Order: sequence, then C-alpha cells, then structure tokens
Amino acid sequence: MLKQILLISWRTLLRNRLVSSITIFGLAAGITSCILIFLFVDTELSFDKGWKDADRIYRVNEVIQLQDKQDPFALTSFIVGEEIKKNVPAVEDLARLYLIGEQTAWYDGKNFTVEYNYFADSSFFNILNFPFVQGDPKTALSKPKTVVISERLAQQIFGAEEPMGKLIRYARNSYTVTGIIKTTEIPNHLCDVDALMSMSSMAPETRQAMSADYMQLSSLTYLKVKSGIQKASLEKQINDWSERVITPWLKENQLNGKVEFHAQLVQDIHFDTFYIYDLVRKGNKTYVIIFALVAVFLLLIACFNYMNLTTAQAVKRAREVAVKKVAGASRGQLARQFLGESFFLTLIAFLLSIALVELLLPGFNQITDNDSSLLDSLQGGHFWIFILLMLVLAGLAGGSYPAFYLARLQPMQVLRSNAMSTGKGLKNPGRSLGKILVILQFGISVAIITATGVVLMQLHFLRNHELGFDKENVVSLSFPAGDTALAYKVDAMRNELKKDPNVLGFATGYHVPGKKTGRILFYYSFHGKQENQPINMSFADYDYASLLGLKVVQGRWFSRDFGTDPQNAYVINESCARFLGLKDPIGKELESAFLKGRIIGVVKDYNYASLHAAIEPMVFMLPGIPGSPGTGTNALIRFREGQSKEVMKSVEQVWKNLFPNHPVNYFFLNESLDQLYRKEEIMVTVLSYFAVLTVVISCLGLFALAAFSTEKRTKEIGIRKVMGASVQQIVFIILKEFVVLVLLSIVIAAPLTWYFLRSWLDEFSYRIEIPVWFFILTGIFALFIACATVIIHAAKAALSNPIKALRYE
Amino acid sequence: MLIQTQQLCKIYHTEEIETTSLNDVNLSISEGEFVAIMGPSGCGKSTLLNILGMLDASSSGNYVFAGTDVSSLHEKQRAEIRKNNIGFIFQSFNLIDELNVRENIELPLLYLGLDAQERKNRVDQVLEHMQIAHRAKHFPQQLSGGQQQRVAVSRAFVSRPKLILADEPTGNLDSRNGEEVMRLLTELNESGTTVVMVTHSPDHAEYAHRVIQLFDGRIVSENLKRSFHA
Repeated sequence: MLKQILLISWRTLLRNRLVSSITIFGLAAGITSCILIFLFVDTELSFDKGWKDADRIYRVNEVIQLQDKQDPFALTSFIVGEEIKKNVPAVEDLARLYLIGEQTAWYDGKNFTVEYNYFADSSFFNILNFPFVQGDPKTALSKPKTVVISERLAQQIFGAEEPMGKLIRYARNSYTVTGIIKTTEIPNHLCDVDALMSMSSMAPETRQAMSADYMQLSSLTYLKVKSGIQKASLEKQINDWSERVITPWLKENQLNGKVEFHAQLVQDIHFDTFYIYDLVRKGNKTYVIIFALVAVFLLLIACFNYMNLTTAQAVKRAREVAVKKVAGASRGQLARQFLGESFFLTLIAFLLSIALVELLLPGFNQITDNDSSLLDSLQGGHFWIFILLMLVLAGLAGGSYPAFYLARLQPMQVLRSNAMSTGKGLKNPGRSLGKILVILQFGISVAIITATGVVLMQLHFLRNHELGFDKENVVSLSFPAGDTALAYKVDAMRNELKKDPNVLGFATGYHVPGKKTGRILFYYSFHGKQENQPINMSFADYDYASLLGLKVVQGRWFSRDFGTDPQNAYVINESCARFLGLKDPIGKELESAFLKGRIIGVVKDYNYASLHAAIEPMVFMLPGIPGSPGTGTNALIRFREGQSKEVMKSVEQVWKNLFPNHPVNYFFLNESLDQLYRKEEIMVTVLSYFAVLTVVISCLGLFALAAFSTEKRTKEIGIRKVMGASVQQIVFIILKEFVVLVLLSIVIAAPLTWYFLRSWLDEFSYRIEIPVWFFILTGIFALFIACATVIIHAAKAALSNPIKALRYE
Repeated sequence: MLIQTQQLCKIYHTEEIETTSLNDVNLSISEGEFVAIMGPSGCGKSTLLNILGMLDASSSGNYVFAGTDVSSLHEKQRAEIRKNNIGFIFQSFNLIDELNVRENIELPLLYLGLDAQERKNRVDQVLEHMQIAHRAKHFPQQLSGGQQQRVAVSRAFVSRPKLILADEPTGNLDSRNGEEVMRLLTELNESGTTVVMVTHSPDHAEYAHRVIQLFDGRIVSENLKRSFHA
C-alpha cells in the first residue's frame, strides 16, 4: 500500500509538472524562511544558557539611589566582588571582569587594535566555562602578565603561527599567551571579548585606587551560587552584608544615598534593558518576537498555498477517488493515500529547503549580525520537534481537504461523465476554503509590506532627523591612552592640520555624539537645599561647540579670552537646566569631583545619543583639569565636503609622526550615528526580503487557483460568449471574483497592522506618524499584483473559441 | 437466487424538487444469469444498477443479496459486501491514468488485502487470459478504447466476484470492439459469474438470457432471450 501511495504521488507530480513545481517551490520557500528564522531566534533565546550550571550563575548589579533618583548599573565597584566572596556564604565561586577598553597591541613589528580587553580573576573560567582551544582553564590566568585571547584575535595577530607562550606587547606591559578560547561556541553576552589579562597583572596603584570607593563602578562581577540556593536568598545575603559594610561607609563619606544589589541570572542578561552601562552583546526581544511572527506567517502562507493548490486539483482527482471506492477502497484507505501523498510532497519540499538553508545561511547571518549554525541546531532536540511540527502542519494542510472531503464522495455521481456540472457530488469543492485562504494570504502580504514600509520610513526619519548638530563631514579619532605628552601632541596635531585647506575645524572632547557618555556626581543647590545626582558629563575644548554647530542659548561657550574657564566654568544643556530647576542658570554654582565652579552657558538640546531615548541632561567642562583623564580622548575634525580621502591622508601623515607606534583609529561621525539604528536596519532588510517572498508565494497560489477556477468556468464562459459578451466583459467577470477577495484581505489586515505598528513606534522617543496614504498605496499595489496574476488566465479564457468550451459537454 | 428486490423505490430530494427514479421495482436474478436492462434515457437504469451494486441505498423496499438483506446496512457494511462480491465495468472505462495496466487490474486485490505474491499470480493469470500481458506496463493513455475496456473488464473480475455490473460497457466502442467485450462478458458468465448489464443496444442485449425493460422507474416488460439453467 505504501509503495502504491508513493508511486501514485510521484507519477502525479510528473504529470502536473508546472503545478507541482509551484507547489513544491512555494512550500520550500516557506519552510526555508521558517528554518532560517528559527535558527536566529533559537540562537538569541539560548544566549548564556549553554554554560555549565547556567542556572546557578549570576551577575551582581549595583543599584545606586541618591535623593529620589535610582540608577541600576550593570556594574559593581571593584572591591565588592572580593568582599562578597569572603562574606556571603551562598557564594561557591566568584570572578570579576574589569574593562580596560580599546588598546593597541604589538607583535612581530605589527600593531593591532584590540577592542575588548579585560582584566579577569583567575577563577573566571570556573564560572563561565568558555571552551579552550589550547591552555588550561584552571591555571591560564593564575600568574601575572598572562593573557587568554579569543580564537578570532589569535588568528588576527598570529595567523598560522602557534600563539601559545608568545608575548603580546601592550602600552605598559607584555603578556604571555596562556590560552585560546572559543568565544562564540556557546552563544553568550561576552562573545565580543578579545583578550582577558590576569587580574594579578593590574598595577598596584590602579588596584588601590579602585579599591577605595564603593561608588566607583568599574567591574562586571559574576558568581556561582551553591546548589539549592535561590536568588532571593542570595540577594538577601549580599544586601545584608552591604547593610553592614557599605551603609556605614556612605554615612562616613556624607553621601546621602542607598546602595542595593541585585543578582541577575546570567541567562537574563541578553534581553535585559533595565540595567545601564551594560556594554555587552545585547538582543532585542521585540525583534525576536517580530521575526518569530514573520516566520509563522510565512509558513502559514506557504501552507495556505499548498492547501489551495491541492484543493483545486481535487476536482481532477475526484474521478480517481470514485473508481477506487468502487473497486473497494474504504474512506480510511483513501484518506491515508491523500495524506501520504501530501507528506511525500512536503518531504521533497523539506529536502529542497535544507539545501536552500545551507546556501542562504551565511548571508542571513551577515544581515542579522548573528552566528547561527544548522549543524549546531541539528544537535538540539527542540530543532527536530520544530521540524516535525512544521512538516506535520504542512502535510496536513495539503492532504486534509482531499483526505476528509474527497474520501466522502458518492462515487456514482462522479463517474457519470456529466457529473461535474450537476449539483451533486462536487458542488464547488473547497471554493469557499480557497477564497478564505486567498484572503488570509494577501492579508498577511499586505501586513508585511506595510510594516516594511513603515519601518523603512522610521529608519529614514531617524537617520535624517534634525539632531541639533552637524554630523556630516566630521571624522573622529581616538588618541592612545597613557601618553604623557598627549597635550603637546594634540596641540601639534591641531596646528599641523589647520594648515590643510580641506580641514575646516579641529576640536577635542571626551564624548563623541552617538557614543556612551561619562557620568559623575554633581553637587548643586536645589530650592535652597544641597543636592547631589549623577549627571552625564563630557570634557570638551574651546572649539567643540563650534565644530559640531551647537547653539548657545544663554551665556557663552568656553573661551580662551577667559583665563579662569579651565578652573571654574561649566556649560550645560537645556535639559540639565530643567533638571536642576534653573530658569536662569548663568552664574549658579555647580560642583563635581573635578572642579567647583559656575555655569557660564547653556547650549540648546541636541541629540547626542540615539533617538530611541529622549535627551538627557549633560554637563561640559574643559579638559586638562588636574585629576581628569587628560586632554580629551577624542579629536573631531571637520573637513570640506567631498575631501574625506585627502583629509585622511593628511591626518595619517601627521599621526604617524606624532604617534608612530599606534594605528589610526577613526570613524566618520555620520556612519557611526547610523550604526545606532543597526537593529532597525536589519529589521528592514529582513522584512523586505520576506515581503517580497510573501507576495511571490501568494501570487503563485493565486496564479494556480485562477487557472483552475477559469478552467472550471469554461462552459459558463463559452455560453456567455455565444450570448454576446465581449472580451472585456468576460475578463471583468473573472477578475471581479478575485478583486473582491483582495479587497477583503486589505480591509482585515490594515487595522491590525496599524495597531502593531503603533505599539512598535511607541518604543521610540522620536517617531513618525503612521501614514494613511501608505496603507492605501499598499492596497492598490496588492490589487494590481493580484489582477496582473489573474489576467493571464482571464484573457486566455476570454479569447478562447466558445465552441470548444461547449463541446466539452 | 442471487438478487432479490421487493418494492424497491428511489426518490431523489433537492431543495424544491422530488424526483422518483425507481418506483416499485421487483426483481429476481439467479446466480449465473446474464440479464440486460434497457430503457430510454432517464428511466432509472443506472439508479437501479447503483443500488444493485450497493453504491447507493434505496429509499424504500427490500434488497436481498446472496441471502443477506442489505437494505438496512450501513455504508461500511455495504462496501464490505461489494468489495468481496461485485465487479464493475463502466462506459467510459474509468481507469486510473497514473497507474499502468497491471496496477489498474491489481487495484481491487489491494483493497481486499491479498499479499503481493497472490496478487501477482492473479493479475498474471488475467493478463494472459485477456491477451494483454504484453501491455502490462503501459498506461491507459497509450491504449486504444477497446484495449482500455479489456483492462477494465480484467479489473472487474480479477477478484472473482459473484456478480459483474456493466453500465453500457460498449457505449464508447466501435462495433468490433463492442463485440469483443460482449464475448468476454459471455465467457465470464458461462464460467459462473452473474452479469447484469445496462445497454442501449438491442444487438448486445441479445447476448443476455433475459432483457428487462424499464420505463419511468418501473419494470414494464421482461423477455427471455436464451434459456437459462441455474
């Protein structure tokens, strides 16, 4: 029996090559998309779940409350880790990461920019068991001046050479490579790590400075709890210790605030948006959900298509069913046959889609900044469950109508040759089902096309929104840290570059728009009371405001004409003035760890961060203050439009002379700001592809459906023609049937899509209004596509010889 | 008596119309008989054949087949009896295009659940007998009308049924092929199979033992053509 089922399935496929190909392709396209998205979603959802004892690994986050403001940091101060390990019984092991940041490294005469460098406690790999390619996780970080590097970095620095035991030179020290780790094998939030130096390598002075202050947040603190300890218990123990140690310390240092610790399961880090300064690889749950929905929709469309095509073909299969029934087949046997055929076709589509997934995955990974692998997923049980569910759904979709409707037919009505036109037996087999399916398919297509368009518009808006400063034609350079002659070199650079006619401006500052700001505690008087709050801050030189085109709305910017500015001047933005409750801020006192001074100017609010969020308060002060990190870590250079290449040549020349041992690290401001919306960009790209796919699949289905529908109406069309209908009238009658369906689908899809887009846009502080005209445009487009698809058949039917149609009977 | 009907009626209901297709049909057919049913279009011949073949149920009346009253049986039970006892031949052959000659003939045996070897033996026998063994692997589209009907006849009796119902078996054939089919049916009948045939052709009706005339759903006459001994 199985052999017969497969035999008929195969031969049926061959007999109807066009329809079979359309069916298989449509299904394969849906399945492929589904699998690609599954791989992406699976990777995203499995972040940090692959660690050994993952359910016992936590990151400790410090929440600081000063006055009414509460700031939850993804960091702790440096010594918290050491003390928790000693004083909290629930802790089995603990390790910290101290972010060093971007550094230049040298090996064999070549220099490299290494982005993510950390100091790490020697117990680090006891907690987060990164797989080692070489080296021993237990001892790799136990000695000073040792470093464990990522496979990626090893490849970059050493190429084919053996890295173990080699020395990598950094600015102050050289480190021996004691281990190489795979950072992406277990999807994790620290996958961008490049180099982990042993904590014992940290300079004693730095260590001392770090250890003095519970409010200086610098470290990522990870711990593994003992078996059986719950999160609440852990948090209580840590906070009890904090109450005993930190609360008195705060009082001693006259800090009016509270410190609370949260234990965050490491598995929860990836999608978390609550903690700030979380500079690790983050995902966006909304997008994961959206992608999952898109996958479901695509599969549904593909299945609807499949269902439609098999249902339409049922008309042709009815005779076969009747003969088999007469020959003795039971309903069950026939149902099994149709389901068997359907699963067979589904299997072929599935095999095709596996090949397509292999082909498309690298490109898809690139678009989505992901690292999914089909092979890895094949080892996971839930992938197979997903595949099985998908295939069952598809198989049922294709086989259920013939299996459960056709199998019930009265055979004799069908076998009389004029049975098709009587009312019995085959009255409109699945016509209503087919119509519902077309409505659903086009509805989904309209929804996805509209969503793509709106996301694109929002992205365009974000990229082109007036930011309050001029981001075009500006390049940013970051100076190497630790250079004692930096101030002089910066001046020399300024003077040299000013000679270049293509250089229109040169400024230095700590903060570059689009990058993270610093944040320190400020003391001020608020309605007569002394207050203190952490506020965003940046060092900025005399030319910073003019280079960026910031508008000064009250007072002035820093000026060389005022010799006291470096010691006692602050400039704030409008949001800061509101935050400080100052209508007239000029002259008011403001104090920080760096200087005690007065506000000399207010700049108009400008979007120095992503447009996802509203503008936060910001304070500026001049660099070069004793105790501050130096002249300012970045240079901003404005160049003449179109002259970027020439200017970079000059810049590199000057740089080589001043900083011969460091590569030039630069980026263009406008490109960097675009990166803030990378996730939206990914969404648009992926949605666009899927929008095209949904339209193609829907049209394929509509094409085949129209073919069958028209064929079924051959007699009717023939009679109408003989009665005098024109070609246009026939075409209109046929089109009308499908136009109504598409209109219905638009009417249903539009409000639902509106609702979801509204919710998505609410995530942005700056957003477009959803354009009604776009919905109308999409509707017209859908109608146009549908008509174009159907008109081929309509025209053919309308132009055919009516006699042929009538002879059919 | 293989077939006995008493006061058999069949009424078709649609939303507005009631059509009486058979009205008080009393029929007896012995095992081994060859009966032809004739009558004008729409007189109920095919309806009667459907009911005799248990493809349809009567609205009222009795139908006893091989001693069993089948009038009140469920579809499933009727299908079971049909499968084991009745073969069908149609005017338009009704072969399955996706199956070759061998597979078409094998079809009833598949549904009877016979094992592969038994099926092969029986089909081989029939192919030989029908002299179409050389066409075993061909598909219906590759055969002439006469050959297709021969395949259909083979399919009808491969399961060795007690009864063969033929609905205008020569209607789509030329005279030569038509004669050929009638010869086959006669042969089958002579080997013991009861044959009930609906036909428009008076010439072909002559092959039967008895000809029953239907008109407006009633039997109006019965003529003996040849002597029949049970």
